[in-house]
Amino acid sequence: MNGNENNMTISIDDFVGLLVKKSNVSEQLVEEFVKVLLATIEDALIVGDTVKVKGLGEFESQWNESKEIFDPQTQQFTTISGDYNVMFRPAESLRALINEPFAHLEPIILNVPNFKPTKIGLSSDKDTHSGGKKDANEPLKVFQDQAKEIKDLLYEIGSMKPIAGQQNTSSEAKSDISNPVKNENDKSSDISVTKVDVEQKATTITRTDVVNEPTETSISEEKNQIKLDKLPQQNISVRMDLVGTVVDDKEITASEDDMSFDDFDVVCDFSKKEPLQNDIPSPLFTTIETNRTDGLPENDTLPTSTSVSLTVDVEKTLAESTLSTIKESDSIVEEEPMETNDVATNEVHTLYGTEDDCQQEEKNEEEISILEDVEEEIDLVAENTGVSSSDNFLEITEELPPQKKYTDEGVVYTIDTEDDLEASIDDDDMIETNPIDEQNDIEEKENEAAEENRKNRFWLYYIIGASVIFGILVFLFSPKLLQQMNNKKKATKFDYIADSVSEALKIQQIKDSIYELKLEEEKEENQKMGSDTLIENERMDTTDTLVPAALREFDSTSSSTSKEQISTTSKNESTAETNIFSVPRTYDEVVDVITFNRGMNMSVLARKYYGHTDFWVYIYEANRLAIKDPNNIPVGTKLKIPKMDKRIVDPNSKLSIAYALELKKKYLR
Amino acid sequence: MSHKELIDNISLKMNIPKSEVMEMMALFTNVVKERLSVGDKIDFPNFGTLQVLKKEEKIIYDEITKTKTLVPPRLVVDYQESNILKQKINAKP
Repeated sequence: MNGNENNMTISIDDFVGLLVKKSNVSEQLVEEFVKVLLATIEDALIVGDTVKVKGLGEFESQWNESKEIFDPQTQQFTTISGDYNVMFRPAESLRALINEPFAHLEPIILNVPNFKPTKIGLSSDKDTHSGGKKDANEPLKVFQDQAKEIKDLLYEIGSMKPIAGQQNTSSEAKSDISNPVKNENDKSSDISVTKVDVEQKATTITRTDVVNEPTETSISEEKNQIKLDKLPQQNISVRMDLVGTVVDDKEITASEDDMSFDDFDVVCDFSKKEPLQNDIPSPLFTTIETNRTDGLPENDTLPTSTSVSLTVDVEKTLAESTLSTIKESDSIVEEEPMETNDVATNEVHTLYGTEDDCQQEEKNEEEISILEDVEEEIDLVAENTGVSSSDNFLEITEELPPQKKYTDEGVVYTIDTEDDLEASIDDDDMIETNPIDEQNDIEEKENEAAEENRKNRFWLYYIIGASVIFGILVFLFSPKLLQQMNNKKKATKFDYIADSVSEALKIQQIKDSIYELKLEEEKEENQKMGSDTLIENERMDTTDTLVPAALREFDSTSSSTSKEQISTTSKNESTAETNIFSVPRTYDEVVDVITFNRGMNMSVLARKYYGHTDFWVYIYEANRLAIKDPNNIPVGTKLKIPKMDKRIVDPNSKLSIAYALELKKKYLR
Repeated sequence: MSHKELIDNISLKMNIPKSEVMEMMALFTNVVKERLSVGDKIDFPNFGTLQVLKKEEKIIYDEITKTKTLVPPRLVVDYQESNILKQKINAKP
């Protein structure tokens, strides 16, 4: 079919030959036909008409607008004048026939949308667990956005408690949480400061130590040596956070000792060293993520939030380690940190005291155990930093107990978990184990929840009972209501119909009938001229006077009372109507017989013979046998024009016209 | 001009009954269809040519829905009017 090699151009002669072959017509006739056909199409196109050939298509002359074309060679615009063009629009059947070989093919929607990763760096890393897959998997985007929102919410919820505790403690921590953009600026400023400080005070050793220290490895080593669980490490890290923050505040506010600056610098250095991708670590996550310090280098696969928090915690641990080293080297004055710690502890007591009054007693007991823990931890830190001095330990231990108070929950937690040290090596999710305080809280909460549930249940029962009662009431009264509604509807319908159609007709009919009755009675009077007629006249006068009054009322108010009046009055006249119209019509007498031709109409005939077009129905009635369809009378049918009563076929009488219209409606259904 | 009017005109011009013209028209369209479906090109002098062209497959990009659709190839009937006819049409006042 599409073989181009087999295609050939068919001339008009060949075409005529084909036509002749397929038909029994002479060649001359076919040739003439083709020529005439083409000529007629041509003529029509010249006139501007469209030519429709059934089964082939539509030829149409189309106007092409004039257009300007820029010629690059001459650098000039040339205008092409508009002209007519013949357009052929093939018919649907022809189109389908021609396109048969490709008819089975359907357009395919290719699902290769041009995906443009708009977020780069921070945002992209934030959103996805695996940033590489994000670009490829667009549908995941939605879930990622949702996950982000949830994260933000969690962060907001989680940030409430720690921030409340650390409101005055850490300026940097806050800034980290609130806006990372600020952090960058702060960090940059810190960097400069730290550099200067480092140069001045030769704390490069500490820095190098910090840099060179393998954070996770040190922790793992600690584990191996002392069989410390991860959970104690968490505590360490948390404490470190607090230490770092407190120290920062100290130095920011006081800014007296070089040590303090150094410490601050160290912390800043860690924050600097963090990649900017680190998102705001939510305080909730910090505790959780400290567990995963072991797998820090592998954190690329983990969610970013966890990794960030990890790094922060680890850095803070490092910060403390550096602190210890610095303290060793420079022999810190112990008073200052103690003061700050006291302040912090006071704050913490105020905050946590309101929450857990009963637990304060426990704290004292815990602190003793904590001191022991802290000693061990400090040993670890000292080992990491390569310093081993018992004096310094003492200094730090003195500092640490108040710091422990910041992390009341954490302390309790460690006490609980230290029992399960060996068991919970691999369980990173052990954080979820509730401490005693939390258990109490949970119990209280459970009690509250139970009470709430009871209240809710009460309300539920109340609502259900009310709804059931309401349903029963509705069920009982609904039939009556429905009946009322139906009656109303019927009434409205009836009123509407009466107002719209029947009333108008009735008014006209009544008026006409009254007029006709008058005429009849006048005739009778003239004929009889008797004394009895006078009485009748008087009666008629009275009726005449009565009826218009009724009509007026009817016109003015289409109320039911007026209708009744009319019905009563119209009953008197209805006898006259029935006399005229209800008598079965016999079309015996014929005025004329006409053969139906083209352009003829029954209505025209009616106007000709009866004076009004609407009286065609009587012609139709007279010729019911001959006419099957009044709208389509075959040419040549002989129509009888019947002789009609003039009262029925009165063009001036609205009643007769209305009657004719009714008949028309009847027949044209 | 509808098909009916065309037949009326032809019958008037040729002085043959409409039924005959209708038969001839049906035959004409059938032959044209047949030839075109085979892939032939029909040349009517001073009128134009009817032929079948193949529209190659293509990819359409929808800016609104951001989707690409592969439109399959298709065969279409193409009519090219003759220059004489074009001149005649454009010569009208």
